[in-house]
Amino acid sequence: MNDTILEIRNISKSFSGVPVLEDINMSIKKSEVHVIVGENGAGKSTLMKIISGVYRKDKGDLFFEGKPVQINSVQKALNVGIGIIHQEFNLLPHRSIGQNIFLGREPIKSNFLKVIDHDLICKKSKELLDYLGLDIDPRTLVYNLGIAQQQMVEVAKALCFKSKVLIMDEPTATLTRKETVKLFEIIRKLKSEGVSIIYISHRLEEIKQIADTLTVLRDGRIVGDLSIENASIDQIIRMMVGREIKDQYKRQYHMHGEEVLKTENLGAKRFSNVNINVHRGEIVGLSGLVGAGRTEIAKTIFGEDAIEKGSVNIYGKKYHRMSTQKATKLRIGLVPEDRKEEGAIMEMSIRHNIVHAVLPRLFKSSVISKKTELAVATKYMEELGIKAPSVNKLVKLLSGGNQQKVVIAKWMCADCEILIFDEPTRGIDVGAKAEIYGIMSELVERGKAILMISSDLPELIGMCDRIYTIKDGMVTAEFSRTEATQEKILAACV
Amino acid sequence: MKRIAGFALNYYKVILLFAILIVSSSVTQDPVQNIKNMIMIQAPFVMIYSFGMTLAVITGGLDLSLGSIAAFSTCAAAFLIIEDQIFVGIAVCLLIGAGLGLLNGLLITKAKVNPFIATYGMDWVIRGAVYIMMGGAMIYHFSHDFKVIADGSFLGISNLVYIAFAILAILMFVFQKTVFGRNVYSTGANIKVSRLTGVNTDMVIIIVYMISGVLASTSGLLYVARLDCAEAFLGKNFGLQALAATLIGGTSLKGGKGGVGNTVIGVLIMVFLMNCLNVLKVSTLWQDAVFGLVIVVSALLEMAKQRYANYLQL
Amino acid sequence: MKRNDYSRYREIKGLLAGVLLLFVFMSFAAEGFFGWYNLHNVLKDLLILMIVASGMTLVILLGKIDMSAGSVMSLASIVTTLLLSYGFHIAFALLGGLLAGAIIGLLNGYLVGVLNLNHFVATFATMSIAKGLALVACNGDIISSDSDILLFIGTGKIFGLFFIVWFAAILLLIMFFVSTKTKFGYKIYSIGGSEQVARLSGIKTSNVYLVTYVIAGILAALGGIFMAGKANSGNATIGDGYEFSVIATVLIGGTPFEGGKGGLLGTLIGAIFLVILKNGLSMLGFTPAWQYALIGLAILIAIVADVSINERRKAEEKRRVKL
Repeated sequence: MNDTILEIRNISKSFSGVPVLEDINMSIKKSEVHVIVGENGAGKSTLMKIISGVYRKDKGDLFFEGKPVQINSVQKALNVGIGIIHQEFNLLPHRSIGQNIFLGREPIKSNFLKVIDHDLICKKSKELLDYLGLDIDPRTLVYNLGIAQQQMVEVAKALCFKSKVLIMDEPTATLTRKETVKLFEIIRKLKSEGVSIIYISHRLEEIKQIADTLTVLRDGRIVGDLSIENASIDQIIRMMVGREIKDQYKRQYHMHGEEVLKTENLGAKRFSNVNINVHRGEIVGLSGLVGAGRTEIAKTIFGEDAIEKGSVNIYGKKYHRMSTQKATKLRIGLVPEDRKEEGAIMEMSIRHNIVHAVLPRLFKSSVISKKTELAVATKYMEELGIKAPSVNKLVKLLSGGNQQKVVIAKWMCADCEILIFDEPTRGIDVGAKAEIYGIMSELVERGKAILMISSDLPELIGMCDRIYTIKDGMVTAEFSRTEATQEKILAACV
Repeated sequence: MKRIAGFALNYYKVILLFAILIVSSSVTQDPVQNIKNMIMIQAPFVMIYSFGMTLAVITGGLDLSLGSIAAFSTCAAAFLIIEDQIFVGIAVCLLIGAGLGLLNGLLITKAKVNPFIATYGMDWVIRGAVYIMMGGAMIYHFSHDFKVIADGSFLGISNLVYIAFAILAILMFVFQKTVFGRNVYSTGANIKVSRLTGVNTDMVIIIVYMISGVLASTSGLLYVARLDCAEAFLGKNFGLQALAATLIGGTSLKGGKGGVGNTVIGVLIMVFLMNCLNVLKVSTLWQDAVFGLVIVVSALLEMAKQRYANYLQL
Repeated sequence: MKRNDYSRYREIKGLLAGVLLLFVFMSFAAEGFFGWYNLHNVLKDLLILMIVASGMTLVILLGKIDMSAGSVMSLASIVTTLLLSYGFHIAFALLGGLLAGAIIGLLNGYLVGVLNLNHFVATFATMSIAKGLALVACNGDIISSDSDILLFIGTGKIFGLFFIVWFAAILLLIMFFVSTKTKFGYKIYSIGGSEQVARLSGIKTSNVYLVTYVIAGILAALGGIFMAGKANSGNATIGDGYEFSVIATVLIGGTPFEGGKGGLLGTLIGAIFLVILKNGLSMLGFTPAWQYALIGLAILIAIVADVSINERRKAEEKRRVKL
């Protein structure tokens, strides 16, 4: 097959002993849009990082235009003709657009001292921006740009390399619908000029619009290659999850108790006029795109970010100022999105982490009794089914799911009445996910109140009693469990 | 091979300690007296202010202003002590230490200045203030009642040893057994998680720097009692030496690990090393360079240990 | 359409106004401040500071620091005068001094850039190593030199202006050019902006660290040689605490600790500010002890202000950029 531009053979990769990719085989044809889908943690990003030289593969081979290539650095990948637009942007905010586009390979005016030809950078950048239909001065500093514009700068950066294969990792995650349409136009334009595009997305509905072929990844393996004509969204979803969506959410819906959390016209940096409430025995979801302000709302309620306007009412009492100390004293707990940086202390033991929040209450005299501490930690470790040889094991040595359970155990141990879960199942394997859903259901049955943020719509719909949708820092809609559908929620988010 | 390397990395401190001990005692005429002198007289001073540094390092910072805090607080107190108001003098000294530590803590937590720069800057400012206060003069000839604190002994063991080990015991208890101590470690290991768990991390850091200041002025006071002289140049090397002792003792710069117990060994290594150089008739001018080398070496050892630990796990 | 240089100018506008105000104040308040003789000497101090600070600016632009600058100055002054006293030719003596700076710089670069040690602590350690070596080399004494050329370097004049004025003018122009127009300068800004991004763009970061620290070491050594020339003698305490002034100069000049933005132009204005303050205070009759404390305080305030302004700016930027 001479129209195959990139072939991936038997690629495997594992991180600290945990296999992330196993035996991946794939071929990318010339001028096609090859979509890769899969749940969070299915290994899509890892695969892309291997192809683009960020990670080294453990096993397997890559063939580019029929010839075997060793890609061991980003530079090598770029020279071969593989460019990538990462999920997180790789731009320098204090450099200009032009400087960012040509980062690392600036044209040189003279060889003496390697003087950079700034005019050429400007001229070429301008051409690229024009090609992408962007009317901005290439000398503008990047931090003055909006997110969509930054995305375009990333595209320009990749184009400028004359990449033959362009990888886009969730490019539309932060774009509005209009911007997405524009991006698709550009993708089609690139395709018509012979560029192959590997496109990673969660958004199944947009895949239909641009994909030629489709590969589904699940738990580090390829579960299917489809051509787009024969693929229905239902089928794709089934392949992605490998199970019926509704199965794993074992919620029982009872009458709700009193209202324990309420925000009144709450406003802070990234959002304003937010009015939401949560009752005992209820899971309330916050849905929205990345960057819509969901995490910020959670952090403001928890006192990590300052309240600028409005108030937070806890158990009917109004608070205009919050702090994390006050929040924990009020028995609020936050299970943050970034487990490793904000959730648990990786370098400390399970025991230390579990009793962390309850310490001042558990030991009123301030002297720690190791026996009590051990007993408490062991109790919660068993209750939540944290799989580890002992409570003294360092948290960094646990799997993602068990780490998350340690974070939850910390708040359960502190007897929290209101729990905020921010993306509780991100990067966690399927089995552990179900366990975490089970824990959450049990918590609300015990009369706790849960506010849950998630990008995973089936999960939100399966778990929540009510769902608020957030867009650009505003609440756009509220759905009850019975009226919520993926389509309706998505429509309110974008 | 793997095992030997692992053993060496885990116990390098003890090995180092003995190596230096053997070298230094093999060239002195009276090794017992020499070692006794080091442990009884030299080590306690260094230990007390090194504890201050260690606590700061555990929070993920460090305290380079130890020396000037010691100088400022003792010089101020000396004006009182020379008038025979010993207890008021000591109280003032410790209070000033705590106050200056508070300033450090505020700079680091509220003004968010990097601890290195904050305490280094404070070191200059405080040292300048001491120069102004003393105007080049010294205060000396204190009463016997004051000098006995450092000169006296009980059951044949110097008071200094008792004081140092009393402080060690208190710190060990506070930092290993209490909620506050636990919060210090967790703040050092990950300040964000600790704050998000309801720990008042700013307060934790401020208190640690205050303790560090008090420890600095305590050791300064003992120095003054021992030398019978308060002067503006006191403690020029405290920060450097304490950092070297803390790091070689195995307290990691990343914070949240190690402790004052480790620093006891670190201090012994440093004191023996200095003594060894003394015995070998190496010029005292080498001191600065040796401290610097010790810091580099211990940082490298720490790194090697980390890599080896990762290697073992995989 | 605003140009980068223009927005850069806006950032240092406030500082510029402060410098002018301070200058006017000192001219009226301090007897003997505003006069050719004094200002010419102030200029000399300024340029020595600026030479060392330009190296430090590059290091801080990388998001790192070099605590060893002051000690390297001492070491270079000792090495140069010591070589002279052994009868070496002045050219070798100067080269020796610069080489000493380069070696300490290389050590810094290796520890920080290759071994990834904490840059504060690594350079703090090399600072005491350099200081210790200087002390050992001179045995704690001041080493006087009888070289006319060294004296000329420190105090000689060409066309009525000190030699250093001409020398520094050319040097600083080159530094400015290198840091803003060349590939190397671009790399420094990129790494300071985000080391990860720079690495993903194929920049060999460890090389840049090495070279930058070596440059900083050589420039600090140069500063030390000028200091030695001023007194025509080497002294192991010549640069004690100088790194503090240098770091403050860079920060006052608007290059923040996190690196990636700012530059030499701001540092120059920061240096002017600091030197006028120092000179003015002594002209106002403050004793050295008072100067020591007041300048330390001023520097600390400047650092605190810089940090808090940057915190706010960062918060503002975060609102706009998703990073």
